[in-house]
Amino acid sequence: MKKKNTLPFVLVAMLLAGCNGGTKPSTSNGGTSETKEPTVVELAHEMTYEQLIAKAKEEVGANTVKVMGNSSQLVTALTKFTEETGIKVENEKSGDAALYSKLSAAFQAKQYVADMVLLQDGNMLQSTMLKPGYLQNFIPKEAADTIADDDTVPMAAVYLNKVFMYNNNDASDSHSLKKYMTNVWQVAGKASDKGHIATPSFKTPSTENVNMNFLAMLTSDEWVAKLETAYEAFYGKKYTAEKDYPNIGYKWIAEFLTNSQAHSSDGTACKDAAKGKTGSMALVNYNKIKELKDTTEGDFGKEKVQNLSLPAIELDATNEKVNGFAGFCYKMYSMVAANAKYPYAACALVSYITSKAGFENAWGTKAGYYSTNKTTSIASNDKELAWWKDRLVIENPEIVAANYEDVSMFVSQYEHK
Amino acid sequence: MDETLPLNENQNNSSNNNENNEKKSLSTFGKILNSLKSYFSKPSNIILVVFAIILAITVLIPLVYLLYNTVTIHIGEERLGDVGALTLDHWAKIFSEKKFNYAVNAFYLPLKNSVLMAIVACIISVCIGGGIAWLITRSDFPAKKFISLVFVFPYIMPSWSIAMFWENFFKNTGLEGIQAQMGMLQSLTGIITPANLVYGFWPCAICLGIHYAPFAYILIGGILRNMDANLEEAATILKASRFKILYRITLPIVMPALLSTVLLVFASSVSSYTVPAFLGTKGGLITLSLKMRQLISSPQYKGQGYVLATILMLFSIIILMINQFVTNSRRSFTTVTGKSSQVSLVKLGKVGKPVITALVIFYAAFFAIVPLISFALESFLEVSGNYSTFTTYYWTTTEVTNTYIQNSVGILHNKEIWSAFLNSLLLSGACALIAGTCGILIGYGTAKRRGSKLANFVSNVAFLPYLIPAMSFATIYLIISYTPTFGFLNGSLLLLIIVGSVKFLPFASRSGTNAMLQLSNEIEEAAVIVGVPWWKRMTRVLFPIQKSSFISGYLLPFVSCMRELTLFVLLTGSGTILTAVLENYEKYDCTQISNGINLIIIVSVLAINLLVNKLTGASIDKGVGG
Repeated sequence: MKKKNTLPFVLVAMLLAGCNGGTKPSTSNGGTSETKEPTVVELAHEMTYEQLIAKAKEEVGANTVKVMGNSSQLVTALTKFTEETGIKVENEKSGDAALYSKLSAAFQAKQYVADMVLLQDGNMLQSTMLKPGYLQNFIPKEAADTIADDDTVPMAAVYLNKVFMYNNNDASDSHSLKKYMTNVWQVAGKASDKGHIATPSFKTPSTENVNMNFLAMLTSDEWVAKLETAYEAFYGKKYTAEKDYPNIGYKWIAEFLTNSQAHSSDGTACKDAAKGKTGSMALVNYNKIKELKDTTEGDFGKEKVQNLSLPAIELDATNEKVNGFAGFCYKMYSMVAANAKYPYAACALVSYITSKAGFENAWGTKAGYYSTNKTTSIASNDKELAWWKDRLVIENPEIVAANYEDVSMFVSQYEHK
Repeated sequence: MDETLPLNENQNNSSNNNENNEKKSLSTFGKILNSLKSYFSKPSNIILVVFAIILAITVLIPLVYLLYNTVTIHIGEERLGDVGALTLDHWAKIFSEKKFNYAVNAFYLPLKNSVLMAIVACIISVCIGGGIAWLITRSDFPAKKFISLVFVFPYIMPSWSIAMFWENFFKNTGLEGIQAQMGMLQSLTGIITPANLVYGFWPCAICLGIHYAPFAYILIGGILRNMDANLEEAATILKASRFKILYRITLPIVMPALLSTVLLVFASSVSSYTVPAFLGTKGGLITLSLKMRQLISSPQYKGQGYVLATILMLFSIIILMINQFVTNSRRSFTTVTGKSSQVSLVKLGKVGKPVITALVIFYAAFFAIVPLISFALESFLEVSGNYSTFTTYYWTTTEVTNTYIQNSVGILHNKEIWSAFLNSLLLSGACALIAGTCGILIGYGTAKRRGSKLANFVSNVAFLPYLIPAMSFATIYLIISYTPTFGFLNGSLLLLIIVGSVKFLPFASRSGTNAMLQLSNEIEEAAVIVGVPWWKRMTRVLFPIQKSSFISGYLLPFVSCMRELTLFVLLTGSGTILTAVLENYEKYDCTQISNGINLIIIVSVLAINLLVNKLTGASIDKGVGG
């Protein structure tokens, strides 16, 4: 056996000790003075948008405010914001995982990285950003009239939905697909069940955290009750507890994941559903239909949107709903960095993004994007956010955080096929 | 007084002793100084000491940091205790958590899948690569030049582009749900392949095998080319059968190269991420690398993700140690003493020759040329997958092609794509320059001080980055770049260059060491005798002799950098380098433009490789094979 040279390891350990200064997060928002002075966020809350802009201009001067987010649409709104206010803004776009990694690394090292951030995945936000105090919640003064209270803590700017949609291409008279999906147990259960829908496409929850969050929501009391009602309607008998499942939510997850087919991108899945076999089902972002052929717009190189039906909208014609749920909803949150260089400007940006003008400049009136601001219009082929909220599982960061560990461990059993 | 004399004597003695001691310590100090002076008068020693320090900082810090993260509570894991506190929970959960059979599903099953996938990839790459190496060096196979040119294409291509091609080719309407799409094979022949040949374990293993087959071809081909053919000739004279010659002579001689191939392909395949992510998940295959990435990206299991990263790395280290042990212990078995004057080629026979030639050309064309054609075709289709809708729209339009991507105009007018392409070229060029030069210097140092502890340390640590999974390597550098000491690196191109240079240093150092070991010491000694300074010996004597091998050492990091995504995506924005732009277009399902970008990457890498080959005689195969 050769003797190992330990010197380099000692050296590394010493160097490491030198550069590992900030693992433990600061839980305070700075300032330990006895008489607690109001924070910028608190002061900004009392200001109108115009007052906030004036203060932000004063604060930023000729410098640039930094924004980080995962939405490609955001940059359009930021350009408009600069045009309107003269405040320069720089946007850095990254994927969810990269974004959280960058923010965590910077905040842990107490380094400035951005003034405002736009993030999805409520659970990740709650556990890795809000709990350690890296981000602050700012509620614009105007929000009192325009945004529902449950969307203000944490401050949500946009809702996105993932809904069941299926190919109706060959739905001729001979085999109509009307009322194809009326109960959520159709995509779980067994092949022998009447009305069973095989191989719905779903992005693996292990690679898409919002999908895992949706599954975690299903194990909460509210959704357990709804799943039990749907179960009774579908099978004609009450659900009796099974030892393999802590509750009916887990049963649905297990059967749905066993029945489902993994896809790697919601957009491709949506396209594939549009040009695939009749009856092919997918649980994907509704906003992806934007990339399909729409008779009202240029339709170059796109599959036909007419080939797709949404059970939620289809059943609405007869005032019915999918028993259980028709998909799920998650939010995109706009937050102010606790160590922002330009906190007033960050607050002004949150205020702008959550305003009617800000939302429409970023996401326009595209199907599948819903502002938390009630005054905002929606796409012609879409329904109001309140309508969707009544039919979808809505992500609640606190509930997700409480159930996430168990659900993700449970889900790992169904990743292998 | 009498008493004082001895005292004086004592004093004298003691002062003499002090003087002597001082002289002694001075002479000891002088000796140390002299030995240091003499030690550092040799350039190889300076190089090794400098690189030992540089590598300790750039390689061992990330490594120690990785291990440290496996025993620390991260933000989001507060259920285990205070953030920053030490814990063994991550290791315990991964190895033994029984709830929901977690350890089995999160570790043992993915481990089994990864190992089996790597074994099949090894078998495929060794059979195909080794077989073709034998055909080219030992038989009268006719299309040698063409095959040796195109056979390395799959290695130059990113592995995910082979996976992408595989899916485009084999998908069919026999699949279930939305996957039921017509692919190239079905539209050309009507053949419907079974689902497990489109997605899942087998496609992943085969694609990896194809990607690494050139590796086997290069390593085994190198040995076969240099092997003394007299042994085979002697056996032929003694009327040994062809099988006996292969089994008793050829195979034992190429065994070290064969083992190296097996172990390197195994180490690369076991930690491969992109191929299983593309073809595996759709078929329900979860590998260790997929699970690692999933856990590192999750809010509450980061520590477990780092445990899997460490296990992947330890796996590779053990494999390489076995490789080193086997090759070292079998050194005496290598009977390569020099080239025989004339190698007598095995005749493939009247029937065998055309059949084998057709098969090999078909294979090479299919996996080297058809993917390129398929990417080109896909970029010219109005509707993806529909070959009757040809258009130049996605190359030439000035309209926005995808409403989710800003300025997503046609490729030829797309400033973002071309500026990212330029950045990729610059980044790859800089990484190649740094890694290549460091590789030569490390090669020089380790070859001159061969067998010394310092040389072994530098040589082994320089190879470690190859074994650290790219994602954890990048994560650690990202964290370091936010520390006050290294804050200046954050978000800079310099950070990408450092990370790229360190990660791809193993290729260059391996190539540099091999090239230096081939040089006889007498060549440099002759230059030393006539007083040629070190830098002149390097640039005027050593470099020109091994020019093609050294330049190949620059080419490998260049190629690897151009096709790399995982390593850089965390450290840069989505529009900085071409692979990140490609990922963005892929994410928003702009298939035509993403295929076009893929084509640009592959064609530019191939063009640069061919250009360098024409100008200097260097090529990828010389870099890997030494």
